[in-house]
Amino acid sequence: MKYGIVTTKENETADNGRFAFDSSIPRLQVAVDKDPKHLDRIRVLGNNQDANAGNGYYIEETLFSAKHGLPYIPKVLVYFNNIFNNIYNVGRYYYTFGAADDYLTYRVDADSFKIVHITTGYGLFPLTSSAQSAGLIQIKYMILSNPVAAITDTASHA
Amino acid sequence: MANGVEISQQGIGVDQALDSQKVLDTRWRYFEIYKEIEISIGDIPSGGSYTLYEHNLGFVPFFECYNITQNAYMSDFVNFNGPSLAQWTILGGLVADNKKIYFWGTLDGSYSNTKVLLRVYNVNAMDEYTAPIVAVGPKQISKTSSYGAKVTNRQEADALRDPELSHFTMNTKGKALALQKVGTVLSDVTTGYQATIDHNLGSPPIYLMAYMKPDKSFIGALNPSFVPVIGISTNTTMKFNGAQAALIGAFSYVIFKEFADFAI
Repeated sequence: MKYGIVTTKENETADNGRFAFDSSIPRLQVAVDKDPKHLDRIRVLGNNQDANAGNGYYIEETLFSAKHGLPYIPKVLVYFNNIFNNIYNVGRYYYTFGAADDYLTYRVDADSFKIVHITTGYGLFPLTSSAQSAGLIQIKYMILSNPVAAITDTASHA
Repeated sequence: MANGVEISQQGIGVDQALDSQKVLDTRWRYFEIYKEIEISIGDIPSGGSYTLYEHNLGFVPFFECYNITQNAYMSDFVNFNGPSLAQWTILGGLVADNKKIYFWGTLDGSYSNTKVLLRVYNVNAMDEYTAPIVAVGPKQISKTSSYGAKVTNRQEADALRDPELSHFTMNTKGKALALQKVGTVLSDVTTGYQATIDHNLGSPPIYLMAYMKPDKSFIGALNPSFVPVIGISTNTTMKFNGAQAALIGAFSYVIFKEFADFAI
């Protein structure tokens, strides 16, 4: 016997299997009562960075970090917003791109969620991040209570 | 609402809750998960196809594939851009059709012998769906409350006292992602290298997109680590432009009721 709750769609009956809600079907969800927050909106400022031969044409700074306290590596949704021009980017915000890139992204591992600023010439090209990389970017993030990997997969994801 | 069920997030009365603060409202759909499965990929051939999973849903579902071994989302959709969709040649990638998730065409052998987490959503990516809009303002923050509702499939004696949200299919201590709009758009020289979608939510929403074949026969994977478009959003519309080049392609999108500017 299968246990659970179903709610039918309007003008439907429970017999035809077309449900608006079926408690056996999981969903993406984010806890609203965690500390540190799993659902939050923050604003970050980066620094001008210089990716050059001395640092292997790669430099990364952490702009925000929070422990998630989950027993797995969680799926995360991150939305970057340049509040001055209504631009919304998913997962990454590029200041400059081309042969070398200057951008914001996120990392999540078994312990923490981080927002990072990366300036990279991919091992070949120097790049000094633009003046706008020190500007304000608004970030909406959701640390979902849905895993991407077990806690034993300890390498960092970005 | 004449008939149905509404359940709001904890600490918010159902009459004061925004659409995005309902953990269940039978007037609209949620981003449901059809299947989550870890798969060990074997040797991927250099051409042809390699089936990852047979879902047999009868529709083309949104899906994502996280490569646990390589610590990154996989969203290969290899294509060659021309100024018009007629010249947009799809060379291959990781795709879903109405029966299976598979690698097709020009294949990347670097995924051979890796472990992935495949998540297939119970949402038809080729559907054209718009939810009703009931409450998009004013805004209240969810507060801790002793009252609420929980639904779990676990049968342990203390299952309802489990503090881990992922063990529940519904819990008022969690926000569920409700769908506002699902649809498809095309962008090339004829559209000014832009795609415009009306959302009418009153504030910019969060969204996800995936490349698709223009005839809607298959779709690429969602990649929440990097969506290759820039969304320029107002209170009523969202325009998608190219992130690194002109936007050329066919896309399936999902816009959620959740706002991008608020965390409540």
